[in-house]
Amino acid sequence: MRMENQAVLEVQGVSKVFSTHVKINRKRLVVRAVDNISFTVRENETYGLVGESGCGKSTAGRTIMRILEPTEGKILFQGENILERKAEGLTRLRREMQMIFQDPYSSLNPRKPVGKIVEEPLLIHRIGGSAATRRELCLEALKRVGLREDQFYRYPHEFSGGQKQRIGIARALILNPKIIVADEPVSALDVSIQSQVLNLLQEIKTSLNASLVFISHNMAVIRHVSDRVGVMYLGRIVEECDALKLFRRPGHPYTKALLSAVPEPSPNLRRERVELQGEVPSPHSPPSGCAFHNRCAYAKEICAASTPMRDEVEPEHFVECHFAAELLRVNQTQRVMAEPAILK
Amino acid sequence: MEPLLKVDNLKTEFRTLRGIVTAVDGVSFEVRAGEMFGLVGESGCGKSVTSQSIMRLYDEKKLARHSGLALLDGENLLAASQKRMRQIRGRDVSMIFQDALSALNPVFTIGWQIKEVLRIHQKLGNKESREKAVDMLRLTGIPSPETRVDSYPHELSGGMRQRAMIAMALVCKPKLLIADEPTTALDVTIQAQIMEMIADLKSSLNMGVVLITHDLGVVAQTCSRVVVMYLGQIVEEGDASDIFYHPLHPYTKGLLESSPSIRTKRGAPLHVIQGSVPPLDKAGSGCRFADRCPYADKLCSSVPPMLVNAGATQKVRCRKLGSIESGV
Repeated sequence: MRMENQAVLEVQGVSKVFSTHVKINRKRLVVRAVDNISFTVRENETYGLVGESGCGKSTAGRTIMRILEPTEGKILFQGENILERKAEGLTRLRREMQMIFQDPYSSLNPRKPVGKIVEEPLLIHRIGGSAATRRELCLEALKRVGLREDQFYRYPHEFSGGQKQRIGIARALILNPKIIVADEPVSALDVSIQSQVLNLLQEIKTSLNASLVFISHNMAVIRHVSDRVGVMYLGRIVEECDALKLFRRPGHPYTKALLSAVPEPSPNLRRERVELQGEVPSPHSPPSGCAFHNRCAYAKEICAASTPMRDEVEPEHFVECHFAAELLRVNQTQRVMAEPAILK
Repeated sequence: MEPLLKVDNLKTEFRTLRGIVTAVDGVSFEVRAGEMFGLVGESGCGKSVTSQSIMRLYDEKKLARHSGLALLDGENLLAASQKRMRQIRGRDVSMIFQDALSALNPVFTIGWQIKEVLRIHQKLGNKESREKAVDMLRLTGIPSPETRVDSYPHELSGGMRQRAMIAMALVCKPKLLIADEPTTALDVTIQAQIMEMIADLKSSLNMGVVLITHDLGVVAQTCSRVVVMYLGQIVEEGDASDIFYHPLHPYTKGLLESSPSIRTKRGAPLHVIQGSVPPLDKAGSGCRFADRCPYADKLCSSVPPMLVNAGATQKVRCRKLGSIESGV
């Protein structure tokens, strides 16, 4: 059972506050990009972080990797708080945690041949000993992501977008990491290439016995790859639950609206849309109380007054909403997203 | 009913450093008034070139050469003079683009830019055109349009900018709107709002819409007829329900099966179309999809298939059609 798997990564109350140069009434304007989020990634699990642009999902991903220093909170990797690690220890940690970036064009050094790009992690972590062994390892990594040996000396610009993303994956997998954080790894790719890369990621994850944190704005992709999903809105995880359950019976009104806005490639399946008025408010000045209350169809007075707490409405199903339990009961009868009917 | 736009055997060639490249090769389709027509394909398939050729947006002296017909209410746009095209653009045919920030002029207010259309096409004065601009902004769902009309593009959010651009395109009530990836840069919830608005305006103005997109979901939710393009050619055409429920061309099938959706099983490997779209000048003499097609045989890469009728509404460009259907 997945449930009994051990936690590899525990994020506890992590916030990231950016301060800007703008001052209002002598006070610096700050943005709480990530606001007190907690989640756990278990062994061999894919945890999906989904949300619209500006919700803080990428900042969350970068904070986990300590590319950005969190303002507060704890991040436990195999039980140890990684925020206490200093330079040397942090480098060792990065062997276990690797990241794949959204933009394959800007995340590869244009002046290095692919072989060198993939070799670099080995050099940094002093793995592989001789140049010949390192070369072997690189060639093997390239082969695993579906690239040919003769492409070893080619430069990034000679590759297509999908191939570049494969290089990024090769660079991450060569260290046999325990956790891979993939930030929108397929958003820049065409549909037919997207499925190739998704399959590859799945394959690599299984063969490494690694856990994957998959960040995306694409609900269909998240649904496909994730075991559990966290839905983010304005820096908070407003709902977290098993992927199947989330898509069948979302608890938070925002999740519900988000799901209903996803266009399905089936003309006869025009879903009842949960109209979402307006746009995501500015994170400079989020609404009082529940950040979603000014767009929420179910909002009552209490929503503007007090911030809802993270509530376990069912086992393993967390929702930040004052009316989560009630809404779930209503949803029991009307399913928002149908069960997958597999073609043929 | 006469079609509003009839494109017949459109061919667009570009002069490049590596010789002449045919980006659009014999594309034909019809769009009726009040219809939303979908043009689908991956990047590089020629869907944007098709639309920009119809609008005559390429430099025809140095770069591009068109042949074929693009009849708008019987008038061939491909043969019209540039002077005539300037009258048509914005009045009879309008276009909206993916990236509103680069499509709008950053140094003028959105009101000014909407008014410019009215000044040129309807010779309206300042006050009148301002009123119309405000009305149009209200119609596209911009809150407090009386003040927003004086905003500059950078002061608006992505969704608002898209709305402003749509207001500009529709202020003269064109007969045809070409929407080139209008929602690709937007979040899903905003995308749903914008697509709904376009569909509403389409019905109320009885205008034809050509929706160009790579997003099969958007097409399925809005279009009645769909064309699927691959490397400059139409590979399949038909009613939306046929295309999505009974795709016949291996490429259409592959596209549908490879995008994760309700239909795909969670966690299972996704269907994969092997390889990637080759560069246009490397396209072989036969079927352009042959290299990536699971059904292809030797003949496929040497004999170019024709677009043939298959069923009541569908047309397919595949010579293995019979054997694929019978499951061989």
